[in-house]
Amino acid sequence: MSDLENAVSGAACENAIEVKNLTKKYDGFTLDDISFAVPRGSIMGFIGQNGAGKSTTIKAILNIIKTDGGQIRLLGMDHIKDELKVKEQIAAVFDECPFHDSFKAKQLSIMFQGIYETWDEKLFYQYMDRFGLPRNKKIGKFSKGMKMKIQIATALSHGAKLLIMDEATTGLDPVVRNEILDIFREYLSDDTNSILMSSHITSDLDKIADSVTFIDKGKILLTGYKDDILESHAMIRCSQADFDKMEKADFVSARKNDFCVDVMVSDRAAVKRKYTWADLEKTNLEEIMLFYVNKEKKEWS
Amino acid sequence: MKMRRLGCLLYRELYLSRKSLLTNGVMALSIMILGILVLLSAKHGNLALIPEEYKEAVEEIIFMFSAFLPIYACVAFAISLVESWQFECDRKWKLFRKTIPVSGCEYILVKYILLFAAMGLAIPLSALYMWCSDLIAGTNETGMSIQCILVILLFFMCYSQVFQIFILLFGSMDRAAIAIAILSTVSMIFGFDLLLRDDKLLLGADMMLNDLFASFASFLPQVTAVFLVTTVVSFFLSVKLYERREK
Repeated sequence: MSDLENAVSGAACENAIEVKNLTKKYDGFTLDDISFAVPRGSIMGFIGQNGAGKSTTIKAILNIIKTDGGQIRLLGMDHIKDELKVKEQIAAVFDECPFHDSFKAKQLSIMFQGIYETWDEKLFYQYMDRFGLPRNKKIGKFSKGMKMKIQIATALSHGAKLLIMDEATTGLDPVVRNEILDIFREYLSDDTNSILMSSHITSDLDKIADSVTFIDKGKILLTGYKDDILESHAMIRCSQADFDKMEKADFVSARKNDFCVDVMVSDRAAVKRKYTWADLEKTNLEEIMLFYVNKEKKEWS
Repeated sequence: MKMRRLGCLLYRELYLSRKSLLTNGVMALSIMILGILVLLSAKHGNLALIPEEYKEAVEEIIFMFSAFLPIYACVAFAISLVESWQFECDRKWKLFRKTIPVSGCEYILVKYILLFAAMGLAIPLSALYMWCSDLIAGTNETGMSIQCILVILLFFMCYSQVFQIFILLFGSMDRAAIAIAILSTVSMIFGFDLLLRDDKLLLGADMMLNDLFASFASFLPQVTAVFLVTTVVSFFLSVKLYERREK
């Protein structure tokens, strides 16, 4: 059992998020008995293509939607029974800015002073200045990047112990995305802070995530520490003849083109022993996601 | 329930409906000033020069309009707070508000406090106007008028509360407006039917302002009862709708 699997069972350490056997049924889509955990002090990338179930999972975690089964614990508390207590200590950031267009920083700060007991106005204005956000401009006139930054500024100004981000960096330019990733690194320098970040931009998660969970068609395909996943997975580029020698159980899926076959394997060491001819190349999260999504087809082009 | 939280949420509501409050507030005051000027003119100015045979009918019309329009302006001021409810239809805010540590009871209570505060302001404002118009016209109908004001205000407060529920229920200002328009039409048909059954009230040229006031005022107990029931039911329903989770 890996450390992260221990974390799911709650055995290894206290988790920021524990999702066990979560089920949610819609017409034509089912979130099927999913389980994962985000250990405290870490950032988990929640990866999947559009419609895979990322937002549904996040809505279930935030108690926005009714679930059909399963348990969710946030910061050691039940997400429904201790809802208000939990929400005092977490912050959610969405891909679209939820604040009223007519608000300026001042109105936002006054509103949040009442909402969060631990709201730090001084810290909020410090973040505003650091992000280069104008204090006297209406939020409606902010650019997409500025709107994302003000969401993050508010999320970080009430001492949230857990940030839940749903496609928060989607649609932002690389410069702003990097700035935001730097802020997250800083935020995680406090060991008690954690982040769950859903995204389909895997390059961001390559840079920052400690662990990743792949979801597709409502099912968890893979969950674990990023370094372990990258270490154990590898890509083999081989000819059709070499590929024909491989057993289907030994690889995740294979991408065929006119010249060669790219094969994704999930147990680098075992494959190396069995297929000595194979040249194992390093891979990245994007490739892994792509090959896992096509796992059922096994061979695709 | 924390007072600081309520205060900050009240601030949010007032800020969001500030334009509507200001516009309707200014409109109410302007209509009142115009009403007073018209009444003064009818008593001492050019309107007093109308030939005797038309004078009584014209004065009745002037008094009626100058008495009722300011009340409606005050009603518009009070229910302009419903403006802030349209922000509850915003998809992004609807999602976000469920991630903040505010209970449904606190959230809805703030909206009710403001609605009642605005009504509390509209009643003395309308009563003051009626007292002034009594003074100018040399009549003594303020007591009756206050009952009339209460009937109209309570009636519209019931509407605004039902409107709020429709907004939460449908999650759309447009759909809520259609629903309230249908409800208004139906209730107006029944309302006029009730008024016309009143034998003392003769609609037409002989209709007297006093009769109309008296007829309106006679509905005060019923309207108060409906208002109280509506308030209690709509408050708890609003809290339930607010706390409702998506399916």
